[in-house]
Amino acid sequence: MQRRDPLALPLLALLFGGLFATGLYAGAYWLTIVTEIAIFTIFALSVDFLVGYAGLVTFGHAGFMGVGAYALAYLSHFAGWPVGLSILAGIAAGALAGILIGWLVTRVSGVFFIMVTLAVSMMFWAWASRSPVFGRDDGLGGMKRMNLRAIGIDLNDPRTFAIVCVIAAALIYLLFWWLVRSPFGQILKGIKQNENRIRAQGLPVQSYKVAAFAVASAVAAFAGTLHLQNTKFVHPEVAHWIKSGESLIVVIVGGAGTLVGPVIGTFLFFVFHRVVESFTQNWQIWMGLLFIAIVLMAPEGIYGRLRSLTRKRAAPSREGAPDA
Amino acid sequence: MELFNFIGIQVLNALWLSALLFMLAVGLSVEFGLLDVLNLAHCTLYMLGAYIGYTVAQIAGSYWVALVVAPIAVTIIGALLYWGLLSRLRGNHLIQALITFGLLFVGYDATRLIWGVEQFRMAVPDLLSATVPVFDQTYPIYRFFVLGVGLLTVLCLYLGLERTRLGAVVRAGVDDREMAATLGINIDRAFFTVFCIGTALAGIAGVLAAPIRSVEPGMDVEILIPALVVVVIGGPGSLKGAVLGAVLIGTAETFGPVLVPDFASFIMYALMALVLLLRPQGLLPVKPAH
Amino acid sequence: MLEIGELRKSFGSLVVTDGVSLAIAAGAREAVIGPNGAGKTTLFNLLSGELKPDSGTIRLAGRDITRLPPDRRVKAGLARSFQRNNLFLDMTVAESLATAVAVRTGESLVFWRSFAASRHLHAQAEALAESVGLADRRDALVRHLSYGSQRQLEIAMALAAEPALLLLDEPTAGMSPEETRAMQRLIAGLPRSLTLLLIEHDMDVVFDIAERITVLDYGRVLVQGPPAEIRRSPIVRQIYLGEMA
Repeated sequence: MQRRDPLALPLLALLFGGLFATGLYAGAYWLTIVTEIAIFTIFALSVDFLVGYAGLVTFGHAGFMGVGAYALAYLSHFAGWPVGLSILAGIAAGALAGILIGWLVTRVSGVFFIMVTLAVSMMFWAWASRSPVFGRDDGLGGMKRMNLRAIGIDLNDPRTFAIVCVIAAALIYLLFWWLVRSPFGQILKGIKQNENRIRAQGLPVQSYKVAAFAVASAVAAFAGTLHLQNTKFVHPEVAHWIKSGESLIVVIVGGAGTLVGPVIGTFLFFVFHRVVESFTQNWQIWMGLLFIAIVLMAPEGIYGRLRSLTRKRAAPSREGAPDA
Repeated sequence: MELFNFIGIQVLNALWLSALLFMLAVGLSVEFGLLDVLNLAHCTLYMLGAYIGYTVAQIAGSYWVALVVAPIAVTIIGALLYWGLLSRLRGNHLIQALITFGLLFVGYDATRLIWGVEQFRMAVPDLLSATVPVFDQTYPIYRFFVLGVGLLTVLCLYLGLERTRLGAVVRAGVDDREMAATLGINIDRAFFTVFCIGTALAGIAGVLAAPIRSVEPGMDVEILIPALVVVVIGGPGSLKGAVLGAVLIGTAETFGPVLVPDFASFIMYALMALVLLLRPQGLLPVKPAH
Repeated sequence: MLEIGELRKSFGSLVVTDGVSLAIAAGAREAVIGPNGAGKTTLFNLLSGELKPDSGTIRLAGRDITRLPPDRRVKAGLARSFQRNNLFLDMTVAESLATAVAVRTGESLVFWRSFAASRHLHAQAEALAESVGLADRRDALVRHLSYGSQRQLEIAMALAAEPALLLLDEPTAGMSPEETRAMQRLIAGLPRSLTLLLIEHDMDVVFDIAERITVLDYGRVLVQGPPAEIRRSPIVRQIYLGEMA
């Protein structure tokens, strides 16, 4: 039932290990990359949970990153709450928004779902871009990181912050891995494969979609709070539909519905960006073309393709012979 | 009196913007309603129309040459895209939307690569450079020209839909795609022709817009959402819906920033979300909801 | 067990279900037959909740389920199999049955242990597979199953919901004679605790299994009675012979 993926563990060890090691030893330039990769991975994982496991293709998930970031900004910067508490509140805000919005948007599906999630996230963006409190489209700086000096951790040190983000990403990966192999995860799989069938078995499908949406939104909000602490700056761009689109690119290129895929995809996206950028200013063309190529030739993504290749080699008759 | 003049000018602005949005939305709407493609790169073709138009105008020294050449160029590019990519992916909405999103990325950088990052302003043709005193101000005739082209387009499309064989095929296809598909192999060619018309209109819209709005990278994303909202509100595949939607959004986009500057964007997105949730087939759908 | 009262459904000006009333006792074996377009599958869709009636009532074991959405009707004890296979193509037979069982038992809400470790789900899935004769193919991917096996799985999935009333929509549709006989044996072997209502075109199957037959035409009940009576009925002969002419 659970097919073994011989590649998963080594790949993950390589990726996370690589991030961790870079975080421990590399210089400032690489530290920023490590941190960005770790944070975006968290976001991408939450997108994969929705797209690849629940079958909910959202083009507006960045909106929930925005919710987390802005909630943290407001509470810690204006309301004077301790940052740690504000982070928790931000995650809770993300979950709550996920439930409310999830309940609304799961009323439609297909392209309409794509468009309505885009629209709703842009409502948030429009509000944020116009909000004088948060500096309109210029955004607002002066945000603080969480104060963990009581336990001997100084998050203002870039190296420490980078490592903490990597660990957070690994923990979020574990969270989703756990969820996905639970009965709840199996139900989501059923919803994605054949919503009608599982409804005919008596499942209140919409409730489960909303639950998945809420979990993914809470995690995206968490990514938003990390993003805010990383840049120490709150800006509406964090919620823009283009950012949601980027998360979809990352998930699809890496391999949707695999969890390992988004990790690979994020790596590729950031490394590709930096590498190509050193040669030419126009990295987006190449990223766009690579993306189109992968979508056309390997829609299951890089990890999806690797996985099917290794499975074929490992056990050709694993799936059970077809009936005569 | 002041107020009356002000409103009058804004109404004129709303009208020309509606005309522009209509020409953009028609292609998008038909692609969505007939071909079932969410083409996020449609407005990239609009942008290319503006850029190519600008360049042609520079070279040939004539706006009118640009108005003819640019749409043709854009249509060729669009046709290649359709033939090469989109026609292979019918039915899979996510993949299509993502591919067109990828094209958006590519298009954005491609224009920066070829034309750089500065803003351009295309010159209004001499023939239309006069202004007309109206509502206590001088209003450029060119904008009336744009409005005129928009109205002419509505008329031609309406006649085309009602009177030509292609139009009948389109109406059948939007009404019941599966049925239309069983009617014969010419369906694919009809779809392709329709796609090209929509793309040509986007190119024309680009050239029309160039003298008024600045030609710069990002002009595609800027107008994509309003165009999408027009399609959503009007109803995919509906000509009347596109007209209604264009007028509504053109008005909203013109009056919004003036009346409620901090809420205009928000309201537009909220409207889009509302229509998608409550009446996904649009306000003037091709077939009534059941 | 099931009481249908004056059920009506129209699509625009087309009346598909025209005041159908039917009462089925618990444990009964009932069949609904009729020419194509008679409204049989529409009736099933109205019963399972995919369609909402314009008027009329449906009572299941005395409970009014007319306004309930499809998933609540299943919880109330009604399950159906589909005319066209409607399965989890990329799961194994055992996996899809275990998923169905998880939905029924509410295990679907469990997020703290793994699906693979939920042994009771898999045990029940195995039992279900056996009951329809799919035990030896339990690790096969559903999409690799033969058509006949997939139809068997359809029934197993409906049984996984442990219904009181089972609606079978053309269970032998598209089957070869051997497959049909196997399906016939399967249905005949279902316990009496289950009430069966079946739509069928294969008259051999109908006369073998049904204790009472309802004939539908143009959305209306024409005739109702035991198989022998239906076989003799001139009205029935007319609509079937008339159709074949």
